[in-house]
Amino acid sequence: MKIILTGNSKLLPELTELVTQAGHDVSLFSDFHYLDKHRYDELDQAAAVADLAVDYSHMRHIPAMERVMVTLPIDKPYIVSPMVSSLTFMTHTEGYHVGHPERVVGWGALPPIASPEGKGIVEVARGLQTSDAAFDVAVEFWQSLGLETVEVADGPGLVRARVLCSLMNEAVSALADGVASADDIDAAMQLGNNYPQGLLAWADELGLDLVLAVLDGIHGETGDPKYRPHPLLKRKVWAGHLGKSSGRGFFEYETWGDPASSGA
Amino acid sequence: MGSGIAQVSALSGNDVILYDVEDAFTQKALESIRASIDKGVERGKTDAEVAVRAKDAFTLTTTLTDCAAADVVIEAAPEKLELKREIFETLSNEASDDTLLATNTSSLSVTAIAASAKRPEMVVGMHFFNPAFIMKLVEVVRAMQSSEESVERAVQLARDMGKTPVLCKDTPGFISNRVARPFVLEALRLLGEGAADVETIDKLIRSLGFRMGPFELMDLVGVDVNFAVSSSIFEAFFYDDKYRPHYIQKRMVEAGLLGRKTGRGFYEYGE
Repeated sequence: MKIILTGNSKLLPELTELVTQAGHDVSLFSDFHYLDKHRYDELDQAAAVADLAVDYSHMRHIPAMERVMVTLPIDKPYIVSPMVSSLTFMTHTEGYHVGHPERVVGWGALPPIASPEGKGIVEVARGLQTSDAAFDVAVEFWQSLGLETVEVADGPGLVRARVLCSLMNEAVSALADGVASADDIDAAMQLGNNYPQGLLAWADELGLDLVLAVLDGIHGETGDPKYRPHPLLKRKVWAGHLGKSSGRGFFEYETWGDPASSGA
Repeated sequence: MGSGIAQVSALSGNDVILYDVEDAFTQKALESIRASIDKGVERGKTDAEVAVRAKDAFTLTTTLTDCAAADVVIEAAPEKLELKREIFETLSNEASDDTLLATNTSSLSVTAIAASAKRPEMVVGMHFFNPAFIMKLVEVVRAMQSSEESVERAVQLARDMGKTPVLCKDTPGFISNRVARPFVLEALRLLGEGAADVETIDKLIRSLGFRMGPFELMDLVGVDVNFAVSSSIFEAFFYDDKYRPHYIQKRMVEAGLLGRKTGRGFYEYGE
């Protein structure tokens, strides 16, 4: 299949590799900000002949994503990630409604896509308008990459991101309340609860902007104060302490990531 | 939990006064400690010489004030504030001024417990994790009254026991029980919303690298035990929405579906 892949996540390189290894032709557009005319032409050309478009970004109004939505032939599925808002919300706003919501399917994963236990799992979700046909093509696509698909209900953060970011939010709350140091909070969860990683270090890896975006999304859609992102998390993101990729999050890191792709 | 802590104390070279309300209990505790130490040697985890000394390092008593002779007292009584306060009041009246008084409470206010002691500055929390002879973490809790010296002594004691101490303020759930709440609460919410079923949620969470999923965990520790902790923390934070428990869990407890110990919880456990 010809795949057009857009987004701004550190998950994209792994995804690109999986897609290529599976024998698909992939055109990757991981440009963060606006595209120049040359790139727009390239993107239009790729989208026009694509069998499928896949996106993973956690911010709104990514130019590449919006463009693909317009230029991808209307009978081709568009698989997007409801990390920061439900699929149904996305297809309602953002101009998706002009792009045929029935062809939009949801997927969710966190980097690394391949699970520590072996075979990677991708969550797949239907929006209220998603057609069976589009859903089936999407599931087949993920399985062609050697990934297992698990269907879950539509909702911001789906299952894994929602649980993990809620946990991280609570770790931030404990830090902000001065309960213990960041090192001790992380040690406690690993040694006391057998967590695979300390939550604050893990948040730094995912990118604090992604964690905040997921929480904002759940909080925004549900209105439930339970999900209110902690102000400390917001301040860290506003200050550019995004985690590993920016050299500093809750901890400091020696190497800086590529500024053009900062954030998860 | 008391026997586990006593075992760790003995294995790290200390003499231990083991107190309980009845002889039968202390005898049983000693038996199980000795059996556990033997197992440790069998598995190559414990040095044989250390084990021999440790097994004989115990003095049993049913007289609480006998414990006042110790350098350090670690209390692991049932989670009832009045009971703990009584214990600390009695002991602190008999103990020397230098005796460190530690409580293993997981959900009560160490500050409230310390307030009943003659010298509250000698009281700290030392929260061990079950099973104490395996889990490395000890949360050393600083009550409002705890002196710096008491805290440092507790930290050092934990290290001498081969544990990894973390230092925290006396707040509901300390670190581990508080921060872990969403693991189960979010899973229950997702289940309640019909986002996915029990097996699917557990499978997805495990795929992130967790040893077990939230429902498997609840069944293991006891759905009722987990619910009690959640309810306690919810109340202690004056009903902050973040810690809101879920009716599914309450129904499970009402139905007696408590997990492994009742043969059925979120999963079934055939005999």
